[in-house]
Amino acid sequence: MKRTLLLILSLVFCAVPSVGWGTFTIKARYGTLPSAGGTALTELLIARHTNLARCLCDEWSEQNDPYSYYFEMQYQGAYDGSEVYFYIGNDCANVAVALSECSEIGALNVNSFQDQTHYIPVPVNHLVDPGEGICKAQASSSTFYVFSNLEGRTVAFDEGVSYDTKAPAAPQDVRVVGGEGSLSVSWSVDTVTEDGVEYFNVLCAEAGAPSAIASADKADWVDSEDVCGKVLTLGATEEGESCPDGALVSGGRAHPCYVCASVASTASSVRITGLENGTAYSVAVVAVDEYRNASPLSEVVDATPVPTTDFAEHYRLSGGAADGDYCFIATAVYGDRDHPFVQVLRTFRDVALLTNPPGRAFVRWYYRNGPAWASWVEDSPLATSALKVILFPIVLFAALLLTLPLWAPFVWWELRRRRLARREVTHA
Amino acid sequence: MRSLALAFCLMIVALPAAAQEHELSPIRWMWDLRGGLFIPDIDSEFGGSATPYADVFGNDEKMSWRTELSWQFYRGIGSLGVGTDLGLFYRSGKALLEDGTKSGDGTSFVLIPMGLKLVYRFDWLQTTYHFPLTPYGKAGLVYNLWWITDGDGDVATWGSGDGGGKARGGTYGWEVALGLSLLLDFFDSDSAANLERESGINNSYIFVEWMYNKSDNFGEDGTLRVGGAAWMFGLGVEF
Repeated sequence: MKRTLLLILSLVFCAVPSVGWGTFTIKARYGTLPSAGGTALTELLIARHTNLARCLCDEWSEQNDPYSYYFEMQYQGAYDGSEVYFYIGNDCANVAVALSECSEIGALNVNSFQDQTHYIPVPVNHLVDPGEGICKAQASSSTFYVFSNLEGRTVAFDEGVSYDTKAPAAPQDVRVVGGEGSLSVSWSVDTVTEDGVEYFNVLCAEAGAPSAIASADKADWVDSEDVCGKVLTLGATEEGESCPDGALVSGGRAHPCYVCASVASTASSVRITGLENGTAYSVAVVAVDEYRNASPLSEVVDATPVPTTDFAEHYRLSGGAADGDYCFIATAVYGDRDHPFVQVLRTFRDVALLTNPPGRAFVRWYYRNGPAWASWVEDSPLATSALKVILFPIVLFAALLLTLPLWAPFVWWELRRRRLARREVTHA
Repeated sequence: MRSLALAFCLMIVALPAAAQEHELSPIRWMWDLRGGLFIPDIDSEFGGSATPYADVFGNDEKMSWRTELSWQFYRGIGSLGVGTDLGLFYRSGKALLEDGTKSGDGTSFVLIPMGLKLVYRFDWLQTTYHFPLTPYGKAGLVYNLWWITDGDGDVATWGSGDGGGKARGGTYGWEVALGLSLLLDFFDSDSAANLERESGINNSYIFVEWMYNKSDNFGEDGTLRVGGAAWMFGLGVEF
C-alpha cells in the first residue's frame, strides 16, 4: 500500500486537451452541492471516502447519493455546441475495449459550460469497479475521461484516479505489562510497516465485559464488514452506546468501539492510563493505514494494572530526606504551589537561605508563622493582590541571584567592552 | 603497545617543527562540548543501608553532557579565565513492583548542572614551543537543578506522607576538574589557518579530563546528593 493517495482529483488540476478544445478544470466535492452546504474534499478525504464506500454496489442514481461525490467541472475554450461524454474505467480510450466495461457518468453540451460550473456525481463503486461494482480489496487505479467523440474515443481530457482498499497486516508479538493504574502495551512493527500503516489503535476492555474505557473519538477507521453491511460510520461511537459483546476476543472482529489509545506508525508501544488496579483487561492492537483501512485484530492479551513505586517514592521509602515542601504565602498568593514564581522562591530558599545559619533561622521563623498568614491571605482578595505586587520584585531578585552564573559573565564582559570603547574614544 | 607509545611520542615531538604560526587574532574565548559516563552519588546519603538509585536505575553509568564557555582575562604563563557551563544528565528506568521487580511503568531522573568556574590552562609550552599538549585545571561552584518523573511522565511526588510534594529541586556544590588537551591544529596547520581566517577560530582541541563534583548543599541534611566523578572527553575551540 505504498500506493499513495488516491485522488489527485481533489487538487485542482488542468489538462491541455486535444486540438480544438480548451481547458477543463475539475475539483472534487462531497455530499450535497455547494449551494446546499456541500464541502470541498481534500485528496485524503476523497481517498477515505472511497474506501468507506467501496463495498456499496448502489445502482446509478442522479439522486444525492450520500456515498458519492462530485466532480466540480469548468471549461474554458471554444464553445461550438459539441457534446462531451464522461466515463470512468481503464483503457476506455482504446476502441478495442468495449465501452460497457467502463462506467458512463454523464454527457453535456459544451455550450452549457459557459458562465457556470457543472457538478458531475460520481458513485464510488463505479470509480473503484467500473462496469461491475464488485467489492475488492486491492490497490489499483481508474481513469476519468472526457470524450469529445465516442465512436473514435477522442479524448478531450483525462486524469488518473488511484485508490487503495487493501488492509494492512495485523500487528504481531503483542505484550502487555501492568503498571500503576495503567498497562504498557508493545507490539512488533516489522510485519506491518510495509503496508503503509499510518497509526495503531489499541483496543481495551475489561476482560469478559464490554468496554467502559473506550475513547470513541479515536474510532476512526473503516470496518470493511460494516461497510459491506452498510453500517457506515467514520466518526465516533455515540457516547453511552454499548459496544458489541465479545468483539474483543481472540479471533473476534476489530471494532472501533473499543479503542483506548491511538499512536503514530513510528511507535511500537503505548501506556494506557486511567485503569483500575487489580482489574483484568483484554488488550489488542489494530493497524490502520492512511486511507482508514484497518487490519485484522491482533492476538488478544489479558493483563492487570498493579501498584508501582517510582524513583521518588522509592527514595523516600528508603529513608531519603530530600523534601518537596513549599512556600505557604506565595502559594496562597499565586494559587498554585507549582506556579513558576513559587518555584523560584522555593529554590531561593533551598539555595540561598538553607545554606547559612541566618537563612535557616529565617526559614524556621517563617515556617512557624507562614501557614497562619497564608490562611488569612487566601481569604482576602485585597491582600492577595497587594502581595502579588510586593512579591514580584522579590521573585525577580531571587531569579537573578539563582541564575547569576549564567548572566554575570556576559554583563561583566559587556561593561568591560563599553569601558574599553570609552577609553578608545577618549584617546582619539 | 610500546611501539605505539614511541610513535606517539615521536609524533608529538616532530609535529611542532612542522607547525606554522598562524595566529592572526588574539585569543579571548574558549568553548567546549564534552561528555562522559557518570552516575550521581544519590545512594551515598544512605551509607550503604539502601540503594534506591541503583534499585531503580541500576549501577551502570550513563552519558552526561556538558558545554562550557570561558573568557580568558589573563594570558601570560598560561591562561586564566572564568567560565560558565551547562550540562544534562538523564537516566530512565522502570518503577518497582511490591516485590522489588520491575514494572511496566517508567520513571526517570533529570539533572541539569550549571557552573561558574575558574579555568587555568598551561598553554605556555604550546604558545612558546608549539608543543601540542596542554594540561589544565578548573574549579568552581555548581548549582544542580533536578527532578524525577513518574510513570505518566509528570514530575513525581515524594508520596502521600509528604502531602504530595513534588520531587524536584536544586542542590548547590563545588566541582574541580583536571585535564589534558591536544591541539588539533598541528595535524593540519593549513586547514587551521584557513579556519582562523574564515571563522576567527584560533585553535581547536580534543581533550580528556577527570571531573569531581561534590553537590550536597555543602553538607546540608535533607539534600539530594547529585555529585559524582567522571572521565569526560570532548572537543574545544579557542577564538
